[in-house]
Amino acid sequence: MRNICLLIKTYFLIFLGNLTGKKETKKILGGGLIVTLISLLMVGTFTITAITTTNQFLELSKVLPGAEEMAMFSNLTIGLLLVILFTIMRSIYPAKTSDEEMLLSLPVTKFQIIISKGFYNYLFDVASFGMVLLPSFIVYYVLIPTATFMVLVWGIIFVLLSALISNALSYFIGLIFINLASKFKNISIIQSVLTLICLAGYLILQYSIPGYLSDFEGDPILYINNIGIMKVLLSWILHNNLINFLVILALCIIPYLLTIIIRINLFGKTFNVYQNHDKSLKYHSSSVWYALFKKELKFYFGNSTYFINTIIGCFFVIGISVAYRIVGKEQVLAFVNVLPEELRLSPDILIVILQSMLLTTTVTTSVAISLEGKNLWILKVHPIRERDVFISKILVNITLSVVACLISGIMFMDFNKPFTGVAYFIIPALGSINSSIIGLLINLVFPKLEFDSVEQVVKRSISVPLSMAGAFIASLIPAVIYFCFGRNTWNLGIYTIVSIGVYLIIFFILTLILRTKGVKLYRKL
Amino acid sequence: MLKIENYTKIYSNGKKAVNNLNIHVLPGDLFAFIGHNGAGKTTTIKSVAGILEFNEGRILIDGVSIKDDPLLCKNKIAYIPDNPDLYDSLTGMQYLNFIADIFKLSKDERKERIEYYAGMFELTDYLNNLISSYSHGMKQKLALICAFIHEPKLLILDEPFVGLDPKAAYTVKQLMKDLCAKGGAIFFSTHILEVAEKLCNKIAIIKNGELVVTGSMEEITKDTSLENVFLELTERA
Repeated sequence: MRNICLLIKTYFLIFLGNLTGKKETKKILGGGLIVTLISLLMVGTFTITAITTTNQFLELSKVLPGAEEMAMFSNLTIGLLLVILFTIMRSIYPAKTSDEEMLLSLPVTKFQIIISKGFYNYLFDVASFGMVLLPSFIVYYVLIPTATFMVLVWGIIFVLLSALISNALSYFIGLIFINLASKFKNISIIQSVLTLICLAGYLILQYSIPGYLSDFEGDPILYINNIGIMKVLLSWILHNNLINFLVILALCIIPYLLTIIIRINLFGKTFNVYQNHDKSLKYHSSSVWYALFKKELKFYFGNSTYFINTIIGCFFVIGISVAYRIVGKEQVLAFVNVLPEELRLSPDILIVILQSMLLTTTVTTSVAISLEGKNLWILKVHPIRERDVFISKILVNITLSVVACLISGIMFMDFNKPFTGVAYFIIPALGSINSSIIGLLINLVFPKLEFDSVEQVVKRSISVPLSMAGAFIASLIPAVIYFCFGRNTWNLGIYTIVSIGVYLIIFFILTLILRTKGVKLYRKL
Repeated sequence: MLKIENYTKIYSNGKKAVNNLNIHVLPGDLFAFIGHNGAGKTTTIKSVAGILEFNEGRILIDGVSIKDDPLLCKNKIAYIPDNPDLYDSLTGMQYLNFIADIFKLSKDERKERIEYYAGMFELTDYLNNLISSYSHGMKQKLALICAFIHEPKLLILDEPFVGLDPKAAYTVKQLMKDLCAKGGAIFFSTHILEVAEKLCNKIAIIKNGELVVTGSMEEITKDTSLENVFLELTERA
């Protein structure tokens, strides 16, 4: 027991060390503040959502008895979807540990190691799942007059159990991915695509729930019974059905115990890495910039964290354009009519602004220099012009956004007015070129070349929010001019000409800065 | 081939890493650069390779200043760091093709040289695997192949024998000698004094950023060993 406690204490110390980086009071406070803020944000969001939904169904229950249970159904479904998304995402990227050999050399048993690691991870899961799920139970208990205290008790038990099953499922799916990694060279690309599919699936389901509930008529129990697992869950939590509780208890505990046994058996064993058995060597010859561009593309698509965190803008632009093609222009018009009079604008122009805004979240260049990290010596020691390095990094960004603009341009296009397609392609694409230069410049000013994982760079670099903000401001300049001078007179044609003019001026200024100040900053790295 | 004149490097925190260093490496020289940890060897080597900017002095490679025309200088040199961090997401072959592209080698040239050097370092069978699956020694071998494929005039190496198996270390020594015999030059740092003594014709010893001694191996060692000279000079200076 002493060893287990000692190991758990060490894991917490490592966590704190990673959080703070250096043992400076300011850093420790900063790290703690960020964690507290994120936690408060999560709890706040889920509490507000739960209050809104519960009040709606409470109102409905006055005319339709039993409708209040739909509040728990809705809130719990939203929370569970997030937990499932987290579980799958975590399993797609199985955590790698580097302390196995060190731990095995110490006088501790595998059982002690696995139990301590498991308990440490479990505590974090309970804390995060609690923030997502518990607000639903507390709000239900407070707002629904018929709710008993048992709802809260079951809620806490449910959080404890969901952390167990999530952990177990993640491990089992993770094992599949570890196995796949030994068979596929491009496992990272498979992981990235799967993550995108999961995200898309989550978003579709998330936005389907209000639709599902908006058709709400008749017996609420029938709605709950349509989804089997929710029927079992709600029957346990709201009606104290102990048999259902025991079923869920078994479903969560048995797989978790199984993972403990498997983890103990596999601990310290090395998994095979991918070995290419094709011995034939392929000799390709390319120009310098193209060789750099290929290298950048391989890194981008081969690194899931980088890919997922920067593709999101393109993903949304394409997704919304496809949805637009399905639901039609009328929905956009309906949205415009909801806006206050002073903010109403032509739907054609609204589409372009929306495209430009969304694409500012795809700025791959904002960390492109940082991610060279310890490999930067390769670029610096070889005869490569700074210009070629910059172009190759910018081109990755442009390639992604051009594809997104092309697809969304076609989807948004009014086929009776082919010019709209040109405008929907060219304006956001030009804006995105400027965004990529802004990202690169900001990354040159704020590089982060020392890091242990790509996450540290992609998620915790100051250059990322600054680049997005810079890109956002630059992309919206034509929209601001439109609001100030042409809201009642400009059509899409004039807006396109003005946008191209503005974006070209910004492009020339940015290029000039990159070629002078940018090169100097790069040489100093 | 390499002329370091009054080289001074001061870091942004004000610390003087190297002070007024003067070194001259001639064609055919196998030049060892020796010093304690933190003496300023890697800093100097990184400036010679064009990675680090410096505050004072000149570094001339084949008569061309690295500050004035870095691209021309970099075309003539090859550099291998002590811990070669390569692109993990590429295969060994993709990385070799990348380096060959940078040096604009034709398809035939790269084929001939990659086959030759990869065979020499027994790496051919692993070239289609991702670099992330390579051991430290394999990465070191890949970096060495990259260093040799464009036939550099000056080879700059930082601790080249760390992590290499005995056969690979022997191969590197042979390649180094061959390069010098063809009129090239090698400037490298090492902590293995026996290797430096047997392999090199010239040497420089640096301590706390200051040059302690430089000259031919015979002049400096005379009738004693390099180890004795090094200990005596670095403890006395």
